[in-house]
Amino acid sequence: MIYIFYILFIGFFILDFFLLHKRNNDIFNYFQIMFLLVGLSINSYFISHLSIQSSDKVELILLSIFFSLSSYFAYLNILAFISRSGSFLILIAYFQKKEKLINVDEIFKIKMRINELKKKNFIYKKDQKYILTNKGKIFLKLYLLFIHLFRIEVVG
Amino acid sequence: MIFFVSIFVTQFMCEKKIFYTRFFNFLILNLFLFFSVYLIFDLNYKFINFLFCLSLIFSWSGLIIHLSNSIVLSLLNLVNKNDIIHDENIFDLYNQDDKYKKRVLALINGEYLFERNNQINFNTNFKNKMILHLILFLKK
Repeated sequence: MIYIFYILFIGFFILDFFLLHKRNNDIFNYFQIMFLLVGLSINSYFISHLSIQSSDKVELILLSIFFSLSSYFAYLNILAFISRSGSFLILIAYFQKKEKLINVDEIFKIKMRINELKKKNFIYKKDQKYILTNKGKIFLKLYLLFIHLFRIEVVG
Repeated sequence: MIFFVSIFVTQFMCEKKIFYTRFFNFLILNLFLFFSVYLIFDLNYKFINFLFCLSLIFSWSGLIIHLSNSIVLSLLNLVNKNDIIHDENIFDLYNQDDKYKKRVLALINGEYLFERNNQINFNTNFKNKMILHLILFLKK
């Protein structure tokens, strides 16, 4: 019975992908968060009423929370790659032998990404110059920290 | 623990490479360590632990690939380093053609593409074909 939560959770991702993401191409929606919270609450309630040791109950609840958060994060990343990855577009073009038709503007979509930076409040324009917001500064610091800490090679 | 050992080996001990070119090493290492622990110790809730291990593999891989490939974060860094007045300045500074070449080179290093006689082609082995079919199915 304790496996039902995990099966439902994976099933939800599959449904969300084919029914919601394919239709409107959104990566994030509030329905996902709602499912996560409701699913975790029901699962925790169910586990707390099982006739097993308290330490096992805590272990199972923590496992379900960590599993949900990490798999949800992985799912969002997968959606982002599928809908936005430039490297995937390059690979597909070479795989289909259409590399001569590659449009670099289509791969990088710089204008769209600049608008995204403005829309997500990472940058703003002051005295005809772009400036980072506090949110932008925090994200940039985290980005640079991760890049250096984990020796990540940047191709973006 | 298994997860941290795999991160340590792939991030700190491997040569600095693009993550998606060594994702399979990370995946195999993680699964190998998981099954080693599974055989040596008597784990509770083995299936749930296995699912948790898989979710960690994919979330970590997603994070690293995202940081490596993110154009938005690269642009943010660019804006921070330079006095950018018009959007056109960003286009000049970003240099799409150079970035494109860098990505193609990364794909060659990852053995997804290969270069022969100044011609770049898709490397049609079983793994690459499976990945491409999966991507195409998901992108449809």
